Amino acid sequence: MVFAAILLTVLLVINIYPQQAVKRQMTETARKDMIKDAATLASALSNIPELNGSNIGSAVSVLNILSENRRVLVVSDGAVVLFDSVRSQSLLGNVVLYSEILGALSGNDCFYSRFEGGAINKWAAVPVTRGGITLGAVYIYENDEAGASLLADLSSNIRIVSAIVAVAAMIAVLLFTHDMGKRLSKLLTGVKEAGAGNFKYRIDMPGDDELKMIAEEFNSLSGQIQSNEKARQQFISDSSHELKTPLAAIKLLSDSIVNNDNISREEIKEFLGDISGEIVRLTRISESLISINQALASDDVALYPCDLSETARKVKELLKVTAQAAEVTVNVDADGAFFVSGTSDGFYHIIFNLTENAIKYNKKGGTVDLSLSRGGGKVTMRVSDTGIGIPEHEQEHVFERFFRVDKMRSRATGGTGLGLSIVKEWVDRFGGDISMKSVYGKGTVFTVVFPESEDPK
Amino acid sequence: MKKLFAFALALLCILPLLASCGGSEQNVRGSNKIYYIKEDKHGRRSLAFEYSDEINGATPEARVGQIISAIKQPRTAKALPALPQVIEVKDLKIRGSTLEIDYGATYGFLGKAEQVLAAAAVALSVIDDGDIEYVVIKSGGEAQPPVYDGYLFNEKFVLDELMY
Repeated sequence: MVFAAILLTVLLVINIYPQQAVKRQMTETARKDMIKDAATLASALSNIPELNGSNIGSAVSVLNILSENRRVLVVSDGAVVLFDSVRSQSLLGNVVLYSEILGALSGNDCFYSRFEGGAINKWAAVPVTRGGITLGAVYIYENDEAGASLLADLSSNIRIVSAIVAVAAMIAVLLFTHDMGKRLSKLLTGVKEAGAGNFKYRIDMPGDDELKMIAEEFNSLSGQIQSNEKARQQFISDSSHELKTPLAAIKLLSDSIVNNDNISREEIKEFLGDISGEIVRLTRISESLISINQALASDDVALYPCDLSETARKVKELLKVTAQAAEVTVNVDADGAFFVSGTSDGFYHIIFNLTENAIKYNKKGGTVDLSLSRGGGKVTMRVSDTGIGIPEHEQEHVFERFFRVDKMRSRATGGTGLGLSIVKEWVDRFGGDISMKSVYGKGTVFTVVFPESEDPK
Repeated sequence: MKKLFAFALALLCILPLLASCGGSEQNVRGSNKIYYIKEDKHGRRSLAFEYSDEINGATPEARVGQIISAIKQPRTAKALPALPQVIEVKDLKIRGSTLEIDYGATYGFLGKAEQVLAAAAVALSVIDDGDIEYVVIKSGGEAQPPVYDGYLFNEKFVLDELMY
């Protein structure tokens, strides 16, 4: 409807304006010509001693202002016709009360035109004066059929072109809106499917425009949601399984105690020790899950500059006993302060998990080196060990949740398989990047790079 | 629906009757044409008339006086008086079917076009009354436009537009 209204308005303007412009131009040209001719005759008549039919007729024929479709009257100061160029039905002697003559007798040049009946009728009158006194007026009437015909042709041609343009435009709009409607309908279907939870639905949008881009973005978003959903379900499944294992062990051990009447005190102590170990494992898994959740939910938490070297020294102190028990030496190389934007808890988890892993999967008498350096606006932290390393075919999985390279060793050391995934979540949250290089049997290096932050002091 | 149709039909029949009623603009027998100046949106002036049924003088002179008064004060708001109020009639003589009007000196101050229109309006209004066929316009005893040495009569005036 809006388009139709706009189209109609434009067509109206196209039909009206050129015609009006041409009319104005023709009228103006006619006005100048007729006034000029009338003024020429009036000027000649003003020099004649007496205005009578004979004198006026002579002046008219000398000046040659008559034409086939033109009539000339000359009137007295009382509007009485003194000369009429038309002989039959002459107005000689009559008082002609024409508007233009009355205007001329008032001292004005007058012109009027009207388009009617397939012709342009034009009237012009100019006063005849001598010494400031109005003696009469020259009055010219002209009938122009040729001009009217030209105008009519112009109007007709414009109307035809307008009609063709209007029809073509309406057809184009109908086709366009039909096509647009179909494409929008596809988008709508996609949105409805996503709203109903069907993230597998993809929009097949033809074309190469914004709608195509929207459809592609939608498909990408759906894919992402689908992946996230799959990951979430996998995480729930994995978490449930990990939690079920120690719970099953606790059940088995406690049932063994309850159902065995002849169990000895030493066996009870042993079983209770195992149960305690499983509870510790359960606790660690729960704490790790909480830590992952904290990282995921930390989008709304404000970040602030934290000194990594201070955190590194604290972690070294905390793991002193663990390192001694494993006969591993932990070295921290961090001169000065290294400020990175994040949270102290987050950086603690990163450094603690990397260092703890490096200790756990090390050899007796091995070392763990933690170094901090800066350059190019970045802070780089390296945690390297002389441990058992990671087989090449498993290196790509190390950051996955619950993945463990050596399940037996991991279980023996209380590992949950969540440590590195926790590290990655926090690193990503703080805008950093983590990479790993490992040689099986020789050791592993974890490199974490963060954008450097300003010293808050 | 039937009632509405019947009402519309009745209205259609009554409308011509209603249209025939009205004031002085209708062609009522005995009414006089009083001429006034009409000016269109382009500023073009011409003579037009309206009917007046207030011309009821007993004598021709009385009627002419009433006509001239009416010309000075046409009824409709859009009409311009063809004869200004300030123009006084000094003398008015009717000889047979010829009316001779002699205006006061103020008549001479009118422009040529105004004089032509005033003379035409008076002549046409008076001649329409029926008793008079010719009109002579003077001011201070001197003949005035449009015709200095003759008579104004009905057929002398051309009001229609000039065509080819």
